[in-house]
Amino acid sequence: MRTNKWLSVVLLSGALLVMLLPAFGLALPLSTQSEQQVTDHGQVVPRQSLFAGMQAKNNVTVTPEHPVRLPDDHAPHPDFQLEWWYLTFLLEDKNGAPFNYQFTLFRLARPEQASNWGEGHIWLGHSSLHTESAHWFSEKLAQQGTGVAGYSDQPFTFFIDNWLWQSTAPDKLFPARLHSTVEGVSVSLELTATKPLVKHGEQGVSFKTADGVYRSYYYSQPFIDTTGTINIDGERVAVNGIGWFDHEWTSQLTDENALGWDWFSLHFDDGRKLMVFTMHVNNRPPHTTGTLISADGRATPLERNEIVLTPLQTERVAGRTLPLAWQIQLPEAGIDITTNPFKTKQFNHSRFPYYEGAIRFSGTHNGKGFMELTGY
Amino acid sequence: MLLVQQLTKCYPGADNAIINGLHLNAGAGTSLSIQGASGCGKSTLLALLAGFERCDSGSIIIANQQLDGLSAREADDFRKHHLGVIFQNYNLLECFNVWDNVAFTARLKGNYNHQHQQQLLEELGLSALSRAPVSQLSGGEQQRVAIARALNHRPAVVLADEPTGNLDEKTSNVVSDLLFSYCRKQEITLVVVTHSRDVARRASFQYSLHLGKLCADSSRAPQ
Amino acid sequence: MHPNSFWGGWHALTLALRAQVASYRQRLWEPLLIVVAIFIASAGLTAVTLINQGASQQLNSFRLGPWTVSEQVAARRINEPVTQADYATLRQQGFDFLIAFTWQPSSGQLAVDTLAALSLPTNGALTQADPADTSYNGTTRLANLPGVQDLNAFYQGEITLQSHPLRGLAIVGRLSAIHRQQLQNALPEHLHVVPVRAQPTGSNLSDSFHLNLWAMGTLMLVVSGFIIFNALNLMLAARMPLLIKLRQLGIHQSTLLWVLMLEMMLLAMVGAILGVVVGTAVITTFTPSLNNLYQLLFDSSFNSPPLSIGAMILRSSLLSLAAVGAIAVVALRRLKGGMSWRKVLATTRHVDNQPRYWCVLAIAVVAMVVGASYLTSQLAALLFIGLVLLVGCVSVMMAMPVILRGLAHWVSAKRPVLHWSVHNAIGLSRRTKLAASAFFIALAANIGMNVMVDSFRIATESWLEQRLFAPYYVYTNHDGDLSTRADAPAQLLARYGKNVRLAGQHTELRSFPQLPEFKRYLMLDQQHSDAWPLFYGREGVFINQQLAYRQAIEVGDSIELSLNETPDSMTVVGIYPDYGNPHAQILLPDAALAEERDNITAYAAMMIESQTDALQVWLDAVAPDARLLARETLIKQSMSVFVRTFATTDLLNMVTMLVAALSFFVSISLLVLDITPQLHLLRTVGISPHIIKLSLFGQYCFVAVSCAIVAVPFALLLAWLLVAKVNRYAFHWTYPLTLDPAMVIQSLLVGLGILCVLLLLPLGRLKAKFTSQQETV
Repeated sequence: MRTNKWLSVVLLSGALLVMLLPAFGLALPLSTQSEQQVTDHGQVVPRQSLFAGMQAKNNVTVTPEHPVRLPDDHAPHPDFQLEWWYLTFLLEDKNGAPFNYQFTLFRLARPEQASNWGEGHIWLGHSSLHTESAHWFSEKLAQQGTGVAGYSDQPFTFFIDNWLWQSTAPDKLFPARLHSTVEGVSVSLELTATKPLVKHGEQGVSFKTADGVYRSYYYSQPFIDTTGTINIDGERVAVNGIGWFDHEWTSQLTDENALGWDWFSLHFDDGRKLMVFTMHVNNRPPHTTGTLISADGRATPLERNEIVLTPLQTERVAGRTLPLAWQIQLPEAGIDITTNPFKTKQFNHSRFPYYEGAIRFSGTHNGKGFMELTGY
Repeated sequence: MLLVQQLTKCYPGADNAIINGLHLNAGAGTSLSIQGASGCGKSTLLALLAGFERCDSGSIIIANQQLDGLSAREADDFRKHHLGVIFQNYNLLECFNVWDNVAFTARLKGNYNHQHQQQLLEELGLSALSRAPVSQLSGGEQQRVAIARALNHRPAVVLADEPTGNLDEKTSNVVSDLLFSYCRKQEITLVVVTHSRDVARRASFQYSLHLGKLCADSSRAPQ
Repeated sequence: MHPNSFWGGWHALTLALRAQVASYRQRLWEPLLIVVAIFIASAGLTAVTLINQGASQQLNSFRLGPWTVSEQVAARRINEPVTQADYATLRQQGFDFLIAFTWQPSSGQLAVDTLAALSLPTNGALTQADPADTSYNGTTRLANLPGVQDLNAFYQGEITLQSHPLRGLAIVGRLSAIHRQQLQNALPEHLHVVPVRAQPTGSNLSDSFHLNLWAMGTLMLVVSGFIIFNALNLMLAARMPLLIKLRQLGIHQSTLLWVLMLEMMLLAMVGAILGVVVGTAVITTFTPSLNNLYQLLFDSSFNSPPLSIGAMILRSSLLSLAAVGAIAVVALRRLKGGMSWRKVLATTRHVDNQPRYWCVLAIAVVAMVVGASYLTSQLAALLFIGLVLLVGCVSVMMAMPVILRGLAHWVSAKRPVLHWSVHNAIGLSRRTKLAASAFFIALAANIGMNVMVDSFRIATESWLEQRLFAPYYVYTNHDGDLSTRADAPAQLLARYGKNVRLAGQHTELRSFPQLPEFKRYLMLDQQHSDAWPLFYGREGVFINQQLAYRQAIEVGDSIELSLNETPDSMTVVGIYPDYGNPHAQILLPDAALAEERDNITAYAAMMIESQTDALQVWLDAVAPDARLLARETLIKQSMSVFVRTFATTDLLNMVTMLVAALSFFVSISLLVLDITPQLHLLRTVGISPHIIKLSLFGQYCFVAVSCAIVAVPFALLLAWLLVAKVNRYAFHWTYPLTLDPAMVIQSLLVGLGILCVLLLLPLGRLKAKFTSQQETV
């Protein structure tokens, strides 16, 4: 009866709201299709900054005067805009079937969000597991100060929901245990470091551009022995293998000019490790640098003229054109290798989408590793 | 005034004709009563005379008008002008008072006359009740109203179906007297179907309906 | 009880029952129509109940982006609320489908832990809208869910978890039995899993929605009761002569009552159960389209209602049984009243003939009209509408015979058939009063709502016409102020905005151009004499009706606004309508807000059509996400939503009218059976069947029109109540009541049209005969 009309008044006001809000208040973001930039050489370079839009706070800077100090610097650095703890694992079951796993925690400073609810730091967790045929990916977001995510020391502990990374020795990041999930799969790993930590650049100050304007603090643990179990649909798979840890923090990579990077962590069959990356920054030439680590853990910073990174082949992945095959040349070290992805589709459909996946390489040397492509 | 010849009516599926070669002749001002066992065809005869139903053969002439062959519309008009009908259950129009009930037929025919109706009501002893709602009347009063209504438009023929069937003996006598005397006086042909000997006795001609034919009643009383 | 008397009673009972059932052979129509009436009522009730349930599912749930939440973890006791620690502990145990939430006390807006919601697996709903979409940046990637506030934005300043504890932890998705068990085992003692309750007071939209659903259900219940009681009442009237005969034959009154009840109960149950089954089937069939409608209009779902046919049958049956019980009382009184049917009729006294009842009614109507202006809450307004309809029903019952008597007086007796028709209609109107009441409610509601909607439409259209002063508008998320760009090919006026809290309520500050030529584009309800000078001098502000009504602010009052850290006292110099906006809003001169570059979402483009291409090109370069919309397009879009919404509800209204008209039709059909002997007489005295049918139809029309005549003033009062009271308290805005006679007449004619078409149906065969009386008694 008449109430039908009352109902309709409510419905109408709801509808009017939908119509008028965009008109008078909250315009909805409209997406625009954009293509990646293609240079004169036909090379695809990133054009969209991954973390752009977060206000870079430049009052605290990355400087060699304050080099990385361990173990204190394992802890978060709230004065910096962006920070991550990055674990990549190349694992196998007893039959040699690969289980490549990525576990990452990001911390994004959002001081404008600080409230009586949270502290204004957003923790973003990524958990990504690849087998030959499957990909599981989970993303978690939580705020520091709510008890849902954060860090505590003694022992070093990082957590977000039921994901927990905790060292098992005092004042050391390794050995550690990692319990996480990825979609319905649960992952439980024991991590042991066999060599000391490696600081990149100058005492952990890593220069991202030739002019040194873009920098980050950056150290790694490339020598991690890993054992554990992965439980897929109630089926427990015992796995073991090697892992690589990176910890990096800065405020500058959130600059909208910081377009993206092509990053590699390589485990040579001869026990050496190599970290190389090319950073793409607007109006600046791409900058390539890296660190070569000997089998006994000694690190040698690489100058830009010592490394040649050449994309060989692009593929369409997740609607983007990505350079998935690369040639990496370190002439002075006698290294000339070609990398190929373990599989093509290793794209993380995160809120901050990027390519992260296992690779194999061959040439003068053989081995495997991880490749990350951002900004595409 | 009323002439019926060779009237035959047979209902579909019935073995025998319910009216079978019936003859009837009644002049103006005469009255006739028809008696008979239940289901012998009295009501059918009335329905044929009123033009509600069509006969199979034969003819009915009322007020110089041949009934068979009339269209439905003509039959309606015929009834409106020449026929008065009285029911056992009076069938008064309940939304009207006595006056309007009685006036209805005359107004319909277009010969409504206030004085005439006044006189009629007086003769039927209804003057005092003329503004009363019909639902408040007794059975005898209601039937008198029904009679007044059947007569008010001065029809040629009045057909009455058990006019006193619902009335007690005393009331029945009063009502019958009124009906018969008024019709005689106004030269209206009256056909009364009744079970009541008392009522039948008042008619100029008394018949009983048997096997589809009218037989003059032997117990006819001298007038 | 003595065995003999028991068997004697039983025998009488079966005899009486057989006598009644035997009457079915000749008068099957009667019980059939009763069953049909009860069936209609029951089907209508079922349909409305199911629609209500489906719609209120969303009240007992809320939307969280793409998810619906219908269960929560909540505190058992108010003094031991859900804490942040509880939340963290549960999430650390892997219950990541739990999302902390609370309600904003002032606006009732939902505030949730957005990050937790964004962590939920979306199946692509949120993230993969466009894989190559690069317009997202870091900020928009972590943007709030649409229509939901973030807890961080809520817990600001003096609002803490202690002062405003979490309301609960929303459970996203349906819990499997295992998950539920695990969760229940993990919960601390002071928490439990409960369904999400309807949003608390303060949320005007959901509150009024809830209230509307409640009122709709109640009204349908009342109308169904009306219809069923009416049907049984008619049945009783039809049975009465037989009952009296049976009593005369020596069957005891209580036996007869039992027989009557038994028969009515059987018929009522058949109708009720059939109605439930058919009503359910209809709604189930239409659930998908209802859901589409809800998603389109309300951005929420119409969930297929939980089907418990048993409960529904129970309810319909109980309603029918209550009506049977009520009718039993009436029947007992009549049976006691006398052995003669005629006496029963004669002793019926008509209320409409008694002046004292008229006095009471007149006083009631006056009190109602006077009282209407004193309503101060939505609930009072809604209850008052109920009262208005009740008084209206009484008025209809009493006024219909009077109106028809007036008509009868006027009709000349020289036209005997018409004369009879009008007189007979008086009796008809007395005997159809219950059905007429149902029809009255439907008609008054329909006209009232149409007037209201029409007023709303006119008000909205003129508001849009006036408010949208520029020929074109640009909408964009572009950071920065495009209006300050010198290279813009057309003059752009930025609409600056800032959201603040005013007395704890979310309030929008918006800019209004500080140029005199724009004065005329602000439609004001009330205005200070020096409004514009004060406004331009930054001493005065305009506020919307929502703010004025919510906080009881009048023109001339001052409000405290903290624009730049320091609070300023501003005088309210005018109140403007702002239809569709749930928020309070304050207009300031654009200079006062020009610092708020971040919140510019709209620009007025003062230009002519030929400049659009140039502006579009420029916008593509500087703000690629910008949309350029012509004023006409905006108005057209808004109005088309309007039309679409009310087209649907008009249809629902028609259905209601149909139900009411059907019950009217059933009543009339039964009453026509009653006057069959009179109709036979009419045939006998030479009135053709066509004329009789026409006359009968005329009578129905007389009754319907007299009902409609009474309905119109009540409908207008209803419209006024809806506009000035219900809207005022439900949505905090009002608009002028626009009375378009053509529209009123049209609504009236549509209502009457439906009825008349239905009423043509019962005009069946009419035969002249002498034997009719034996059949009809």
